[in-house]
Amino acid sequence: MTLSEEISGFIHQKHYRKINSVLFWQDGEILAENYYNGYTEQSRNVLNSVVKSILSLAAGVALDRGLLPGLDVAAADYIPVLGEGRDPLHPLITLRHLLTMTSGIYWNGGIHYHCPMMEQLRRSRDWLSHIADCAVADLPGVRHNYKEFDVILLTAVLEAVCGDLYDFIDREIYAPLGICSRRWYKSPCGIYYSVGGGREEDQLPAALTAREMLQLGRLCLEGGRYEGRRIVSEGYLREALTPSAADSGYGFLFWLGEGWYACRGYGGQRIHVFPEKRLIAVMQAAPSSRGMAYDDVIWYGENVLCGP
Amino acid sequence: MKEADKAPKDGYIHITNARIHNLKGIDVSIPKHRLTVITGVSGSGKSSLAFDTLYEEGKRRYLMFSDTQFMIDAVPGFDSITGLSPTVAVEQRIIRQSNPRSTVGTRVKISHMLAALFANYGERDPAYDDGLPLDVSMFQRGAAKGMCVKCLGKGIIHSIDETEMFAHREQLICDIACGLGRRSDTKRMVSEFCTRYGFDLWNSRVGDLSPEQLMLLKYGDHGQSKFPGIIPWITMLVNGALSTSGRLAHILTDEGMMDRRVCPKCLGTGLGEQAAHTTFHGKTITELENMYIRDLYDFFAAWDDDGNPLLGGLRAKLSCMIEVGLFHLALSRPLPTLSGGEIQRLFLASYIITEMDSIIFVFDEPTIGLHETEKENLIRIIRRLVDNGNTVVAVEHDKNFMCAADYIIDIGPEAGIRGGMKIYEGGFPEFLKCRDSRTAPYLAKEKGFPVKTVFRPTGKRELTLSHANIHNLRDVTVHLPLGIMVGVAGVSGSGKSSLISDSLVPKLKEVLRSKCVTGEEDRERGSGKEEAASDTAFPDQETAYPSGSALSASHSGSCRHLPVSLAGSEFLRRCYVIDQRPIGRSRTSCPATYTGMFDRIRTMFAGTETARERGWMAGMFSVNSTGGCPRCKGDGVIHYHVGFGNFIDITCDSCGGSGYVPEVMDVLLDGKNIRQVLEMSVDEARDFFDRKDENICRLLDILQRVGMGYIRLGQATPTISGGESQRIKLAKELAKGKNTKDALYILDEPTTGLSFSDSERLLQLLDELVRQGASVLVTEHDPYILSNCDYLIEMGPGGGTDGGSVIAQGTPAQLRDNPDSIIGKYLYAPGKEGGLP
Repeated sequence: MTLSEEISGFIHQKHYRKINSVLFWQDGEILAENYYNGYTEQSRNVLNSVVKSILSLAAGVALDRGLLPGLDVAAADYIPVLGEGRDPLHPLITLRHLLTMTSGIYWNGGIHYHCPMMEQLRRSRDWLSHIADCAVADLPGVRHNYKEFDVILLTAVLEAVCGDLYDFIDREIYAPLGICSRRWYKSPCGIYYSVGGGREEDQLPAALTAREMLQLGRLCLEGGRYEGRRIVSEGYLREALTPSAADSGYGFLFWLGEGWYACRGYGGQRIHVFPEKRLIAVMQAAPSSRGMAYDDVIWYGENVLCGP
Repeated sequence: MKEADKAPKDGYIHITNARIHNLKGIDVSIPKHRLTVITGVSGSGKSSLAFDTLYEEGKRRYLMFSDTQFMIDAVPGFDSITGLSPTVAVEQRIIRQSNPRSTVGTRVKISHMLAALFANYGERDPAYDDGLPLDVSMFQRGAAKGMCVKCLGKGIIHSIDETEMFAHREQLICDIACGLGRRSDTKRMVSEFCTRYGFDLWNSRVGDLSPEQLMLLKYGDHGQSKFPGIIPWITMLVNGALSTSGRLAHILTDEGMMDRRVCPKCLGTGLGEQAAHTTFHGKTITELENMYIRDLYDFFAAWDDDGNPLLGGLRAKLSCMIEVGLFHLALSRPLPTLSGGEIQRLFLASYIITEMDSIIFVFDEPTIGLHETEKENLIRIIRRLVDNGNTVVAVEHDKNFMCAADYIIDIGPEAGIRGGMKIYEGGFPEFLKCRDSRTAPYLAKEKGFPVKTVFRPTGKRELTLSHANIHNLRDVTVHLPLGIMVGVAGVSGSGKSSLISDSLVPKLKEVLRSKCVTGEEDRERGSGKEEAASDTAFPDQETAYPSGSALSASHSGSCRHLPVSLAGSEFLRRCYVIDQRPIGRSRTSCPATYTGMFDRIRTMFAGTETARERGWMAGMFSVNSTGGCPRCKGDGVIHYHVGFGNFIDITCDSCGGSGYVPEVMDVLLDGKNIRQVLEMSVDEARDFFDRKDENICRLLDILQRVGMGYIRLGQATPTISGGESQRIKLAKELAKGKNTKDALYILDEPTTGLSFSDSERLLQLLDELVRQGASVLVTEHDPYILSNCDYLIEMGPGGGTDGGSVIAQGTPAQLRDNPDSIIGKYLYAPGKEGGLP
């Protein structure tokens, strides 16, 4: 039985009806490329929070170019509402905190994507101003608390130094990787963030094919180079994939585990990289309201390929 | 089944051999579908019969029947109870409703209905209408979708006054912010920080620092050092997740370095933008929640239902609240700020709303806190419950209430071990003839109250409070004579508390500072760990809501007022505000720990031969210290969660319920171990400690004098009523010594829960204080106490928007003749001495 068949059998046995694609790549070669529910090589699937890791790469490029002086620069230098003294802790929030989800700003998770804090934010007229009004519940840098606010602030910092943020990502990352995306959702108040919109259709322009997601994985695996061309510095990537002080399972908008790191999006969107095995697994799925994850498919494939 | 077969089906609830607490194996029969009053002196065992026997068993059987809970029986405190139906307790003990976020509106679920009304029928400001549908939770400040993100629904925020904090250039760095740098959790971190930037925590002064160094000290170095800077650090300690106590905030606020202010984002509403810009007939949900309930009812009565089912429901609920006399409250009032009587009536309202019959209601002094005119109304409502087929059992001292009862049970004759017997059972007219009762003679007018005939004259010394405008007060200016006993009267909601607790006391605190003793210092600066630990368990109620501030803003915001001012405070050396809040907030606090006598008792135990031999210090005799049972942490019981939010308590098997490590029980003081001493009532302890310790005896004497002879030294705080807490606090202050000269004692309804004979003793005590040169100010409804004041100030005429003015003042005799006075006609005439009117 081929790897493709084994994975399909596993998915079938588990009744995972929402998975649209699974792709395994090892050391330059696609070992399995399965599509379901009418999906093909050309089909695009929403990214959801995989976008966060792409923004991390963009931050790396901006640092490499000297557009940002360093990781410990104050966010308030680029986001004027954080410099208005609305909260005494605002001046302490740095770029590093935004990348590690440790700004300390209050967040109440609820169920992801239907979360109450985003709902209030989306209904506000100026998202940055709304975030600046939020209580700061923790000292910046102390507690990792996964939240959209930090990423939204990050997009604002990047937008301030990179010009149009989508154009920057398209030019510096997507084009060299051969990725064809459409222009991301931009909020009425000017925030480029596909997760920000909240409706399914807001996510669609940022959707990628499974193979495009694979390219992003390969970029990371190769330490920031793609087919010989330097996209983002190895130094930044190394730091981004090192456990942060506040949470050992999270780097700079990358998830970290034993022998792997990953870009993960709600509802089963995955780019899992196993650097020592030079293995990359990509998965796409239609998000369900329950927020199903299908990571066991990835562990299963890895096990078949590399043994327990 | 067997039990039921034997039971006579005669329309009575029969309790046989009730013996819990001090009850001495009594049999009583309570008629069903009737109003029964259980009376007796304080501590006689009334509550043990009504609540601990009847209610607990009724509740237990109903819960077992409905399969919602299983129970493991403790030793039953009776042989049998027959004729039970589902039983509901309507209590006034405030500590059982300790969620500081609960408000009047959330308790009776009117807030939910209002939220639904706004979500479905609200009119949206087009500027804020984003086209998305509204959601009920957007109108609830407890919900993440609805809460203001800045204050997280609290409506207020703390902010640091940086200028004030760094104003003094001579100040040592370690002394900034009341010695922040000296705190044990901070000093090392700050010291390292100072050294790194070239100055010294202990020797440098604010004026020595360069502007750069000062900036670093204030706001830190962006995470390069562990210390984040003084301003962020305080913010974290006070507001954030690291927040450990309200103490620092309290100290800084006292010193003017910190402000509590209305949240600038939500303007105190605690709600998000959508809620602020959605209205119903021109009013936001916050405005409606801040209206007095009576005005809110009128507001909803003015609109046609128009197919809107919510309006009818809201009106029905509101009319019930008005009926039980809560018209003067706003839905936004936090529950912890209500008096015990108000809480009880709030529960009563929610029962009336449901219109059940065949329920047994057990009330705890329902007339507490009611003006004489309001009592009649309450009696009518309770009678209606009976007429609808319910059984009502009330623990009560009020004469009119007893007159209205069908059946009287008198427990006594005295308190504690000298009580617990059934003195009388039967109808009211025969009760009056009962010779053995301590209550009947007062009712039968055989034993008269002494009523004051000579009033102390008002002298030159007086306090003048001017321009009081908080809540419903209408620019009130009053003169409070000193050196005498002054009573403040008025119907519920007329502005008594607004005048005294919310206007006078804050002003006195401002002037007298630490010489003005309120319950808060005990909590905030209390003696050590116990208090600090409990702070986290109970979020600070003070900061939870902008109590009344939004109300006063909406009510009187249209006109400008002069600020409230106080003159005459120079005549006072001290002020004691003695309120009904619980004594101590820890589970293990009790009268012995609160009054401080426990320290002496422990020392006495540590001094015994056995303890010295074993090398045990006083800490061994405290459940909060080395002596505490490690398994139950000193509770004596273990709480098990049995699902659906229900808990059961099982006696701890490691300590057998004592709360102590077992070997501590070997140490005996005059034949008693520490647990047995804590089980003693004040009366028993007075005999036990006689000639053993003078200080303890003095405290016990005073506790007896304030009518607390029956309370157990180790009685847990949650089982102590508001009235009892107040009297224990009074005793504690009185025992401190001779500071009564030129002191002002402020008491809020001190007779709450006291029987006639205990009221008389308390009154003597207050009179003695005045004789010693103190001033006494009581807020009271009881005509007996009011008749014995030297001077009265009556607020009114009505409650809520109808109140807020002084309607009469003078001696009780003058008020009786004053046509403007409402309480006047209920006051006792000195000529007709001898009994109740």
